[in-house]
Amino acid sequence: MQDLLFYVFAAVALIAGFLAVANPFSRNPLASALFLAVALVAVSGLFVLLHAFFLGAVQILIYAGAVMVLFLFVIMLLDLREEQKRRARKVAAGLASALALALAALISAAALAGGGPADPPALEGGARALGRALFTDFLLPFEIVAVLLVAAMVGVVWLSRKEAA
Amino acid sequence: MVEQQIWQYAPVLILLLVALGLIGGMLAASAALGPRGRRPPIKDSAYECGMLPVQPGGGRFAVKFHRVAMLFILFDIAVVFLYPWAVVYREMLAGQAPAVLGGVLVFVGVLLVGYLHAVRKGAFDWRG
Amino acid sequence: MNAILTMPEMAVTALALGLLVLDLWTPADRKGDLGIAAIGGLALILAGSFLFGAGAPQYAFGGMYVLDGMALFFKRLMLGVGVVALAAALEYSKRFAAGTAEYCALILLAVSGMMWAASANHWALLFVSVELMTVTFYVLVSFERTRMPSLEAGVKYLILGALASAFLVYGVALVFGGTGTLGFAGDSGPGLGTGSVLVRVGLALVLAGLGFKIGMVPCQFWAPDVYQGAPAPTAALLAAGSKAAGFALLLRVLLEAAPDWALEMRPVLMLIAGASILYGNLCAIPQRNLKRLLGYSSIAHAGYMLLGIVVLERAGAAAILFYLAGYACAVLAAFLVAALAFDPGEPEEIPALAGLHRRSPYLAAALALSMISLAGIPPLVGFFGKFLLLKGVVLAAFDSRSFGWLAGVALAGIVTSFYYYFGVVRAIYWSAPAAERPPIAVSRVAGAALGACLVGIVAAGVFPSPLLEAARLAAGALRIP
Repeated sequence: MQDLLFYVFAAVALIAGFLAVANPFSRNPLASALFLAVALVAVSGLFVLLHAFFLGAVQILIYAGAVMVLFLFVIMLLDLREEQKRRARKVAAGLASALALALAALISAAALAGGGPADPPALEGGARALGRALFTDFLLPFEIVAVLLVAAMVGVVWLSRKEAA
Repeated sequence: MVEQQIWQYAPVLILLLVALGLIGGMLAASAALGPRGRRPPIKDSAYECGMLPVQPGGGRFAVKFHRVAMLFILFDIAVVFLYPWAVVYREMLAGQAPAVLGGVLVFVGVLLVGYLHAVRKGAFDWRG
Repeated sequence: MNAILTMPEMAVTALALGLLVLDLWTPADRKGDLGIAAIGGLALILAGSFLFGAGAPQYAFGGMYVLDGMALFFKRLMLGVGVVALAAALEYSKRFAAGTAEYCALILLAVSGMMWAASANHWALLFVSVELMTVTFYVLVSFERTRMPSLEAGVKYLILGALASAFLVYGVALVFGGTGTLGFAGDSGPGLGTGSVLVRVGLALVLAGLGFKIGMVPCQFWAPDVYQGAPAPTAALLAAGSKAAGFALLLRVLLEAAPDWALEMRPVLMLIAGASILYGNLCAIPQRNLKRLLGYSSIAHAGYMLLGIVVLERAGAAAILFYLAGYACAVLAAFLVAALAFDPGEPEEIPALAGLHRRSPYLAAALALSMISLAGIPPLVGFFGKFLLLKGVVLAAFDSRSFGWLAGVALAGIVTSFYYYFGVVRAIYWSAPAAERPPIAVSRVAGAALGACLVGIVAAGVFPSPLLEAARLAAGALRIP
């Protein structure tokens, strides 16, 4: 059952991801954003299958929820008609596709070759396990994340300031 | 135990399937049963007392919408970190009080600087 | 827990946060004092960092954080770079009307990120510190938000930086999948073997992510545009600080955590080094914009410094440390002049430098010295750094013919670079200005910062032994098998 679900979620994530980037039916950025949301939900399903329950929930809350709203917001602010008229340059699109394919091949080869550790770490990703990890082994990165968020806040406030003059 | 944990998510999966089935069914039903009308582009255009639209709708948006959304996400991410903290706080307080209490105080204290900055610079001031 | 080891980083972070808080209750006409306070505080932390001795590696936070000679060397370098960048920022931020305190605080936060990176001994700390640096730079690059080129540079840095971060974190995930541990070496586990394909591919992705930071081929596309568009102090910090942090992490990952993989990848690294040298130098030739020229030349310098990595020896690492210090002095001086010698909003065109020696002999001499040092002419510090890097490659060439090719490419690159560096010097002294322009008044803070860079360029070139000794001591801490 879990294996089957893995393939379903993975397929949905891949197809939606592809449609977000290169949708043959629509050039509308809104469609891309919504496909991205679908891909994010599917990835969240993969997280749950990996027992990363907290991450799965946060993925839905923050990414599929808040960040996607922000994306849609920005897209609404832009002029959609201009964007729909624009065509990707053939050479650039070809190069990017070739690079993406090469990368996918490389990573698939690595994943198929396997070779993980002899004793893989236990699968546990509930809020409790995460909290323990956060306040024992990962205390320092946790605090640095707070500083990172403050830097981002200062940036948001400065860049979105209304010009005084 | 871990195996059981994942089955707690079975209802979520069922909900997902029901939602997909409902939406798919409704769309299919409306396509199958609904009256077939023609839809020339003019029917989708904005309608204003019979005048033809001269330009796309929607002018420039104030950046403050965007600013509030960004700040919301940043604080949202901060709160996400507090959730696992709240779960383990009581049980870790006995043995690892400096980490679990001091750690979160530093975290919130640092974020407080960002919050004060945003407030004093008028980032939440809707008129600004 | 040896949390006391992290004092310098904590102090820089506290200084930045304190600055942000104080800024809220400081009247507009006193904001400049905040900048002075930040410079003083950072200089104090730099002085305080000499309380730490470069002894045996010490670990904190469960081996996640390491303080060894190399980390200490990089921290002092970054603190010094931070002081000069703040001095430039204080001068430059007069153009923003407000925002001096925010600009200085963000520079401090970027410096703290670089310092965490210098001590990272764990993938989680590596990623978080790189992100702190990168996110801060997104804002620092686009800080001049009323000037279009600055915003354009910010968007480019944002998109490519996010891509590089994606590579980095994907690589970390694969390495974790292959080893089951997030630590590099030392207290938190053994070094990474090359046994598993997962680890190898993961490390390749990590290399691509870090390559963005140092601006090596093929991750170099952002450098010229961003250097040109960013405010001059930001560009200075990118060139001297961000690049140093990237090299600190590369040295830690390639030489200490995964030496076997580095040996296996040596031909690729050599190719990257040679390509960076050629690309940077050849593209710099036709440039007319001073900051864009420095952007291309920074790619070439990343290539020179990679020569110190491909030899996979302590001597090469020491040469990189020496070169980074010398490069930081020269490039900081160049960007300081770029911040001072041009009017607000004026593009930094090289022909506009004509007659600079009459407008300000000090700035003209500083820029000329910096260019000569970047070109690598004796007796300045740039010469000695290039000599050390090339020496390692030439010695290795006795064993393998391919190193001979690499040395040849590097020499050709250096000779090519004479052309454009001396083009700048010629523009200053030997070309007629289009119009007479008023003399430039250099403030005391900016003058002192520039003076410190010039002393570094000349003193470390004429008497290289103290800096060289420090670099050797720092590289000696690396656990290279």
